[in-house]
Amino acid sequence: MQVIDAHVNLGIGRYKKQDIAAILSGMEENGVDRCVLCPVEEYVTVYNREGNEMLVKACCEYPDKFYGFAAANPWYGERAVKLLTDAFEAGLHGAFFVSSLQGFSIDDHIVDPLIEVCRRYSRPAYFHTATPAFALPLQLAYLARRFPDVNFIMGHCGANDFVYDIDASMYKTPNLYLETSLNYCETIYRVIRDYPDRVIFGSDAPRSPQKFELGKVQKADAGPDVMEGVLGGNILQLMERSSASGW
Amino acid sequence: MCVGHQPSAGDMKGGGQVNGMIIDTHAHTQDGIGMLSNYVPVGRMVEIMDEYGVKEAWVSPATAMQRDFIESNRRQYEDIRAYPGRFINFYTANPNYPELVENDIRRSIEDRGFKGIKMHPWETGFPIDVPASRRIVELAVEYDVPVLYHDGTPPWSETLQVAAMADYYPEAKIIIGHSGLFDAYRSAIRACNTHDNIWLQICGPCVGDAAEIIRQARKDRLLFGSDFATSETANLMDERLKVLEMACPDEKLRRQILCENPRELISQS
Repeated sequence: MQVIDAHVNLGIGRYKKQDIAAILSGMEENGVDRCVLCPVEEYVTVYNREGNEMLVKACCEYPDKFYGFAAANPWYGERAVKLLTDAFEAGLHGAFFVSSLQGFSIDDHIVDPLIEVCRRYSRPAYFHTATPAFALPLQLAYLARRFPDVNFIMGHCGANDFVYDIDASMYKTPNLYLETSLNYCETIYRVIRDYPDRVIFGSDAPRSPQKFELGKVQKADAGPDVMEGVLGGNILQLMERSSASGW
Repeated sequence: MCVGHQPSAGDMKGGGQVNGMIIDTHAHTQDGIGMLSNYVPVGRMVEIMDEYGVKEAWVSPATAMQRDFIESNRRQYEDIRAYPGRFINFYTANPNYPELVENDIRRSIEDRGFKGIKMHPWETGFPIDVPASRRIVELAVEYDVPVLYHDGTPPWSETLQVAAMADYYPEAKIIIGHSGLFDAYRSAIRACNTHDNIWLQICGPCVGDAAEIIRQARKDRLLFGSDFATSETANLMDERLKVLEMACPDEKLRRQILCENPRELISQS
């Protein structure tokens, strides 16, 4: 069984700090085969190109270990479109948004040009959720319904206070996936039961330890096929569908 | 350089070396709908507390957050009487019924020995800064008992809205029940460090955020809470104690959070 962590932070930001050595060491210790690397804080908001270049470098050095999801702040307009295009041309595997930091509501049309880039390159888009008022699960559902041929990942799947909105978000939104980090065990087990093919393990390390987040998911009472999907198969399929498998 | 060391979760039952002295300052009896739908009989709750070395839990009835608050608080009082020394009664208040709730708070504190008041503005459905809600805090001041608020959930349970009660009522002991959760924990730290009457519960923030709270907030104002009964309860107790252990490797400080600070707070009441 391949274990893939769909949310690992790379970079030295104002608050989050994690370098490649720490990520590799954690992966070895925790039995994680691959990670999706995401930029942190100022690299998500302002220094998008520098953050993306860091991801490209990591993915080039460790092509069998890392996927990279690029940041582009939609307020940069055409520059953001070029940033994301350049990142995908350089081989990055998806787009990464934290709209509460970047300053837009997920369902606002300001992000549409960037999702168009995702569609053009068949790449998924990851959105942090559960920070009101700009990063809510139902906002993501509206965006996902607007772009039915792009796959979206709901970061933290609403943890904690918006887990009530998971079902309404998933309803008639088959292109929406749920990432588990920071959630109660109870919620993780419920979504694995209800959406076994669309739940993706993620840790948000180092904000929460990878071992701890992995342990919560591994305790789920689900069959081996389902767990294989949650721990790696589902994100792998998503990446393959996005024509972004491997490096 | 290896930045971003991840603390080990280990295989311990939560709490590590301080087992047997743990005071869980944020727990619930009974059930409701939604997140509160995990009903655990008090006897089972005691078994789980024993399993994790939790000596005492400060409990408020979950049902009362949503309905039947008078009956619900009375029932908690009856249910936990069979376990002397294991529980502290917190009264779950519903300010939407001002006269009823005031009379029942008085009865519960004077006749039944309740030692604190819990408010959950989000679940119960009221803004924090309205006269009926502030009246509850005035009662807490009158009886010198702490007020525990749910927080971290805008628009009606925003962390600094809770902290504002500490401004209005410097004599009140205000407990911020989730230290801001994922998005407002830095506000919770600032509020705690600028008030002498605010306590923060490590009950909800993830490991990294909890570590920051513990590093930066007043050490004598930190408490541990499991939020028992808002999720599958043994898992939740395990999870929350592990979060604290990883966020606070200093055993002496952990003991202060798990035991000494809550003892000090409740002994004043």
